[in-house]
Order: sequence, then structure tokens, then C-alpha cells
Amino acid sequence: MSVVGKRVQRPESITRVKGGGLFADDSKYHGMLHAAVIRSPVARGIIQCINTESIIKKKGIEGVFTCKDIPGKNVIPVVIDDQPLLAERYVNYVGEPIAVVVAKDRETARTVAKNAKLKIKELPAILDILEARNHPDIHIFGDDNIFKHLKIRRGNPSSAFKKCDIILENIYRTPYQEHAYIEPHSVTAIPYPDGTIEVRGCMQCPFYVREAVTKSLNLPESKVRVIQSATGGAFGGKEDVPSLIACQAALPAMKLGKPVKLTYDRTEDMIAMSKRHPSWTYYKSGVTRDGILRAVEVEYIIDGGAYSTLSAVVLFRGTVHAVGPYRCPNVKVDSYAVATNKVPCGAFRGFGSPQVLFAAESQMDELANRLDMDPVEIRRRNLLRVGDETITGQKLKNSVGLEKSLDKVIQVSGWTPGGCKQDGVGYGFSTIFYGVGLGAGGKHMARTGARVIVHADGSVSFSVGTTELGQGMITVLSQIVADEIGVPLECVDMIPTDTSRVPDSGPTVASRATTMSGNALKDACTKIRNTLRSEASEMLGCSLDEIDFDNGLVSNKGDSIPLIEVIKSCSFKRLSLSAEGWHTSPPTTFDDKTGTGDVYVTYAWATNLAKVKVDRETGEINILKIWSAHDVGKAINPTLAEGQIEGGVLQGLGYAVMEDMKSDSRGAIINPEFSTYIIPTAQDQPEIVPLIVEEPYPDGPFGAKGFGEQPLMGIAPAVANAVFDAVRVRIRELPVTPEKVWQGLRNK
Amino acid sequence: MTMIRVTAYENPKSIEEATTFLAKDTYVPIAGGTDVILELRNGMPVKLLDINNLKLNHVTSNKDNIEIGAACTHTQLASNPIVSQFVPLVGIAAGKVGSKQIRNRGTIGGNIVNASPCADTIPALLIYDAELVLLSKKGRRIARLDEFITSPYATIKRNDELLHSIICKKNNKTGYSYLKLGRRQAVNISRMTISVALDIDDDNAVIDACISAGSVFPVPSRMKDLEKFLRGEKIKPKLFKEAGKLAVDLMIKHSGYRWSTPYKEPVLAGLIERALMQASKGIVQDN
Repeated sequence: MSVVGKRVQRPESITRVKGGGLFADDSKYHGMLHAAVIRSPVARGIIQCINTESIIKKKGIEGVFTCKDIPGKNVIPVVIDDQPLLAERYVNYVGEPIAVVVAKDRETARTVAKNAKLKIKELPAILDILEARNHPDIHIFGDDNIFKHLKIRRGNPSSAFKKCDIILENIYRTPYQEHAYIEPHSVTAIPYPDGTIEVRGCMQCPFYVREAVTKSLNLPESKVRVIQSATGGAFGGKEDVPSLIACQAALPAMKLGKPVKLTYDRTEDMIAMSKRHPSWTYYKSGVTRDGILRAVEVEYIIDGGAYSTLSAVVLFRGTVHAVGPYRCPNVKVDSYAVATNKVPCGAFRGFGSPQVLFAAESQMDELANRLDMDPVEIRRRNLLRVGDETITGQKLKNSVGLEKSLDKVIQVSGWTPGGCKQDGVGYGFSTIFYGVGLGAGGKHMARTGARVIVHADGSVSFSVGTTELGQGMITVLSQIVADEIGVPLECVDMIPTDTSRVPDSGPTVASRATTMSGNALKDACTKIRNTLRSEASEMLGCSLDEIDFDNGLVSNKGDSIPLIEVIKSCSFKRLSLSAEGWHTSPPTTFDDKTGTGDVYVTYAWATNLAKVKVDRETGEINILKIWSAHDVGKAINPTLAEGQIEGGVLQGLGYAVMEDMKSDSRGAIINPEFSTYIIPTAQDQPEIVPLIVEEPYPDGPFGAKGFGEQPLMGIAPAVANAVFDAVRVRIRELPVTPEKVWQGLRNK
Repeated sequence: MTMIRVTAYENPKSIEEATTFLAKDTYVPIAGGTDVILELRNGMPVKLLDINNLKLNHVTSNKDNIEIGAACTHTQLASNPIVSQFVPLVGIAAGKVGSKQIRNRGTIGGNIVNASPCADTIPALLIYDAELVLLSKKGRRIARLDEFITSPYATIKRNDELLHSIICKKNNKTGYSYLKLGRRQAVNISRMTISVALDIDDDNAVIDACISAGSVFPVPSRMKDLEKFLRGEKIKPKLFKEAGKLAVDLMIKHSGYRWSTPYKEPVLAGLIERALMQASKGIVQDN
């Protein structure tokens, strides 16, 4: 009986609800010590003195480590090697790690780290991206503070604009967003007598962690083993950052020969860990009277903070998504990731696209409004279909479910253009897309491994290099393995992700786990099934191609035997029912000079519709209902796909109307707590209608393509468009707060 | 970073025992801990006096007054029939505090002694001319709630005193309204709360009006000038609009002009108008 496409329950759901699961901070080891980090109190300065001798004398302290103690390279490898593990001469943001203190207990380590005396000569800092770009005197990165500049050149925008009937130019801004994963960062490093270092912690990318630890400790990859613990949410916040934390624990563990645990508390996590890049976008777009988008010009700037981390690739995704899911023959995009003396930003669900899509989709609505055309009609006239080209010139061959998603939302919501509604109520659309997988921005990592073992009793274990983060990957991959081998789902178990079990499989990001690990598992299962098939043909006395696997049975036309008998027979004959699978992505390209190429292997597509009510006196925005339809290729597990939609929509609503992280004149986060950084609670969840569209992706497992990030991405513009529809106030700076709406009402 | 340093913890079983501790040394009384624990995070050493076993969770009624024990939780008050009959605004306000978890732990006494400008229950209590019973080794004293809080997070309570209970006067009015403006639906720090009780005669004239606001003035306060303005007036929409404008004048007079004023000014006017309208129709508004 097939389980792919079925609404099976996540095996860990009940345990999690009861508070079970071994999370990173739950485990203890004999002789374990605790680390804490000494951080920079200034945004920019020269370190003159760290008095390690006075720290080491304090009661309970086992050691203090600075950059001088690092045996290998003092660098966190991400894209560009500019970020030190521990600051050397300069500090570049408030919260930058300078030294690691280790004590017998956590409170002592934290108290000593907090009170450590540092001599730092403060230097003028630069906090604003527009000032930082090409700043004449202050150089945080290179000589222009630009981590990366990307461009797309298509057609001839300047002459195309001359033929447009309506041209709109606007500036859009978006703030930080905090991942607000339920579990703050935690890692434990355990040294073994043979020199191996084992690292256990919450993370998305064990192979990134392994690379960072081997480089900084100067160890071969065979001597570093990284195991993911149960991870309480990630959303991109545990992509590159755990590498830094793992090294902060592994360095003292190796030096002291004892296990060292490092757990951040919430405030520290919010001050010093990565966030969504704040952005500034200049957006110019032009249409002819028929509503056809003729030309778009975009300047998109993201605030990378003090070190480059993932900014270059975050920018890459934003650049490729800059026009939204529309045909446009004339495009000029210039995008910049800029350095400032603030906390380094990194990966966050959507990865540089929600910011620019907020601009693109708000702009689309404004054009419709100026044309006196309804927001669905303008989209329908421009949206991408099979055979169209994206702005990078990629021809879409298949799996384009955008219009279907739009139709589905309209059909289910009953929305009609100019439909009558109460005062203060408005509807807003967004149509968006998402390039699945790493694409040309990270193609060297676009491969993944898997291992499957069928045991003699018919139970099955598998290992992959991607990670479970709460998204349900274990369930989805178990469903694939169960169907591919032909055993019931209950017989399949995943071994926690461990770098020693499979080859480097790249990161768990870019909504790639289902497609990449799914395909690698299919490859491994096919090998095992070939062995089972040949054994069965011998047992049934028929040829290989007559064999059929179904519902726990192996049969030729007349006879059948239980699959378990075939497995037992293989075991008796000492035949291997274990295999390694491997999958590499189809090729992707991007030409830096022109911005052209087949950038992603495929795209996911979505339409969102927000219904809001605005209080004209207070400016309060009440989100009444969200319809959200996503083309996912194939929902391996519809319940989990709907769960992704609901969670992403709520996280997107936080970004749209609530979350407002601010920094002070030193660039330090001023609201690093959940009492002051407001995110949605369960009580704030409006009615969400998740809708699934399935336009199969031929190279995906069972037609599936990744989409985990997409549900967040289009919510902010849908809400902003709904607010405009409700009270004719256009907000171009997130979040859409009551104050801004009220101000807009008053300025009318 | 979180570093809580509790150097002593006492768990007295009687008022006598509790006030003896308070007379001897500086203790911080703790009930639900929903405010106290957060303050402890600054790492200052503290001695805690647990007041959960002093039986201060009573709600009683006599001819003129309702007495509420200081250790009554918000959850308890939100569903208490005596509260909803005689001091309904207190029950509604208690039901609006923070989240369910906070309401289950947090107490009305804690909400009062913490003296936050945005405390949810204080404006509601002010409508009922609440008085506080303070006990110490030196005896018992009664303080008026409107004189109890001197500035944000500061009160006239001495360190040797324990807040025992709150006494509210029964005032039967024809209509009530409680409005809360915040950023989200739960764990919501109030940005503004308005409590209104109106008494209207058969000729549709205001006999009496009680109006208070939280997060509008440095400490939650009644708007006596506004109440006076309304008394004796015939009800009409224009009256409530004027009342809103007067409320804004009072806010600027007492709080000065602050960064949030441009937003709060018209919003306060709008909320006052809306609350009065609802109260004039007899609605106990639970927005």
C-alpha cells in the first residue's frame, strides 16, 4: 500500500507535544565544562588588551581562549573568508566574539564573560547602508564596503520606458526579522583519546560545521564527526551560525581534553546571531495601457552587517526574484550587499527574496490601481506560463502552476473584482515564485548522498545528509523509502543526521531536502530493489521483468510471496541489502556580466490573498483571513505541506504587521527579548486556508519540488495591498503598523 | 544574560509570620512572579518572601464593598461571579492581562505593586474608588489607589508592609466599557486602555461618569475633569466627540508632548468616544 501522497502523522509529533526529544542542551557528558563568550561592547574599535590572566585566576574558571589559541585558520568559512572565529585586532559590531571562557558551571562562565574587562579603543562606526556604500573613510570590507554587486541586463529598459503609458518610481524599506526559533543555539564538543572531535548540536548544516571545525582546529575531516541533535526550529538561523558556535566549543574541548557545552541564552542569541537583512529598494516599473509590463528597473540594497557570511548568495536569490513571477522583456537590476558595523545578517526563510518581493508586488498593485484595472487582471496579463522566459532568460519547460494557484485562490475565496465589502475591509493579492534548491548561486554543493539498509527482519534504516528542523523531513523521506522498498511505513527509521554516515551532502537550505535527499534515497532503494527482484525471480521461477512489488507482496502474474520472505532469503544467502544513493542536480548557470542563465532547476509558484479590516480611528490592522495556494509539484504528505503553509503565513504576518527589531546609535539591538520584540502568538493566527496545486516536476521524487520557504514570502505585500484596498493608504516600509496606517489616513 | 541570585527564600504560613520577616529585613514578596522574576534577571541579589500560603485569594462582598485578596490570580477574577456582578470592569481587565499562562500565575496584588503605567487592572479598579489594605508589624493602614502610585514603578508602600487586599466600592451604573489597544491578541503589553462606567437617567442625561485610562498618563488615573464635564449633560454624539477632545487636552497637560503623542492624540480621542458610546448603550465591552 502506497504511503506517498498520504496524510500520515509525523512519528515525533506526540513526543514533542509531551515535551520529549533529546535537544542539544539536554545532554550531559562526564566531566563536561561550560563555555561562554566575551563579546565586543562597541560597534567598531581596536582591541588593545584582553586581560586573560586576571580571568583565569577567578574561582571555577578552567580556561580562557582568544584568537591566539586557534591552531588552524581563524575563520568561519561561508562564502568569503572574512569572518574570524574570535576577533583579532579589530571588532566590527556590538556582540562580536572576542574570547571564550570555560568554567565548571554555566553561571560562572556567563558571569565572568559578562564582567570581563576589555581595553578597546573605539573608532567611528557606520550603521546606515546608504552611507556605508562607497564611504570615503570608513572601510569595513574592501575599499567600498560592498560585499557583492550583482546585475541583470535584459533588453533595453531606457527606451522601453519611453513607450510606457504609466511609470511608477518608489522606494521600499524592510527591517530586520528575527528567526525566533523555539530553541536558542547550543552545541557540545566532545574530544576522544584518538584525537577525534565529536560535535553535537542544533543545526541545519552538519557539513558546514565539520568544515569550520576542521579548518579552525587544523584537523582532517576524518577526525571530526558532527551529529545533529533534535533541533527546535531553524528557518535559516541555523544555517551558517552553528559553525561559529561549534568552533567556540570545539577549541576549548580540544585544548582542555574535556567535553565543552556552549548554549546561548535568548537575549545573547537575539543580539549576536544572524537575522533577515534589512533592505532598501528603488523600484521603477512601466506598463502600457493594456496592463502589460514593459520595463522594470531595480536597485536593491541589503544590509549585510559586519561580515559577509551568506550575504552574497542571499543577494543572488533576491536579484533573480526582483521582478516577481512575470514576463518582462526589459530589465535592469543592480543589487548590492553592503557592510555596516552591525550584527552580520544571514539566511532566513525566503533568503533575500521577501524584501524585494514586497516591493515588486506592492508596485504591481499600484500599477493596477493607476490603470484602473483589478489586481488579478494585471497579474493574469503578465504572469509566467510554460514556454515563457524569466528575467534571466531561462525558458520554463514544465511545472509552472502559477495561474492554477491564482485560479484556485479565486475559486475558493469567491473573490470578485469590485465585490462589495464593509467599510475598512480590504483584499490584497500577491503572486510569487521561488527558485527551488541552491541554483547557480551554490551549484558546487548541489549533490547529496543517502544510505539505506534493509535488515533481515524487514525493518529499514536510512541515513541522509540533510536535517530535520521541524519541517517534517523524516516523515516525508520515510514515506519515500517505504514505497520504494515496498515495506509498511512503521518499518522505516531514519538515523539522526551524522557526517560520518554519508558523503558531504551540502546544506539543508533552499527548500532542497525533499527533492535532493528524496532522489538520493530513490537511487539507493533502486539498487536494493534490484537485489530483491533477482532473488524473487529465483524463488518464483520467473524472469526479472515479470516481478511486481505491491502491498508487502512480491508477485509474478500468478504466484506471490511475502516481501519479508524474499528479504529473509537474501539474508540467508548473505546478499547485501544495503546501498548508497547519490543525486546531483541538473546543471544551472548564471552569467555575472549580463545576469542571464538557467538559474534554478525549477520553480515553485504561489498566490496569496489577504483579507484585512482597518480601524480608521486607531489604524489597527485586523487580519481576517488568508488564502494561500502553492504549486509544490507533488505533496508527498499533504498535511505537512499544509502545515508549512500555515506556519509560513503566520511568520509572514509577523514580518508584515508586527516584528520591528531596532538598533540604537551604536548599532546594538534594543529589543532583544520576546517582551519587546513582538511576534505573532497562536491567538493572532487568522483563519488560514492552505491550498495545494500539483504541477509535477519531472526530475523530483514523485514529481515533488521544494517549497518550504515560499509560504512566508508573499504575505507582507498581500497585507500591504489589502490595507490599501481597505483605506487607500499605501505603506512602503515594513512593518505595516497602526501608527503608519493612521499617519497615512491623516495625510490624505 | 539571565542570572538570578536569590540569597534567601522564606515561605511563611501566616500574616503574622510574614510581617515579622518584612520587619526584620528587606524581602521582595512574590506570588505568581510574572513581574518579579523578570526584574531578578538584572542579577541583583534578592531575598524572596513567598506569600502564596497566606490565604490571600478571597473575594467577599458586603453591603457597600467588594474585598479582593491580593493573591487572587487574574484567571480567578476573570471568572468570579461576585466580580462580574459588582465590579465587572475589574473582571474584564483581569481577563485582558498578558496571556493565559500569565493570568494563571499573575495576581492582582502584583499588578498593583509593580505600578507599571500600562498595568491592565489598575484603571478598572480606579473606577470603583479602590482602596488598599496594607499590613505591617506597626499595624494596618488604608491607602487610596489613586494616591498609592507616585510615579512609574514607584508606590508609597513601605518595605515592611504587605499588600493584603483591595476594597472596591460597589457603584451600580447603567453601562460600562473597557477598551484595550495593543500590538497583538495575546501576551499583549497595553498601548492604551480605557475604562468607562456611566450612569444615565430615563431622560438620557448623564447622572454620573467614571473614566480612567492606562498608558496615557505617567500613572494610571481617573479623568476627573472629563467626568465633571459630562455630568448632567444630555447624551448626543457631539458630546462624546467633545469628551474625546478634552481627554487629549488632559493627556498633553499631564504627560507632556512625547514621541508617541501624534499617534496617541487622535487615537485616545477616538477610543474615549467609542467607549462612551458603548457605555451609554449599557454594553460591557470586551473587545
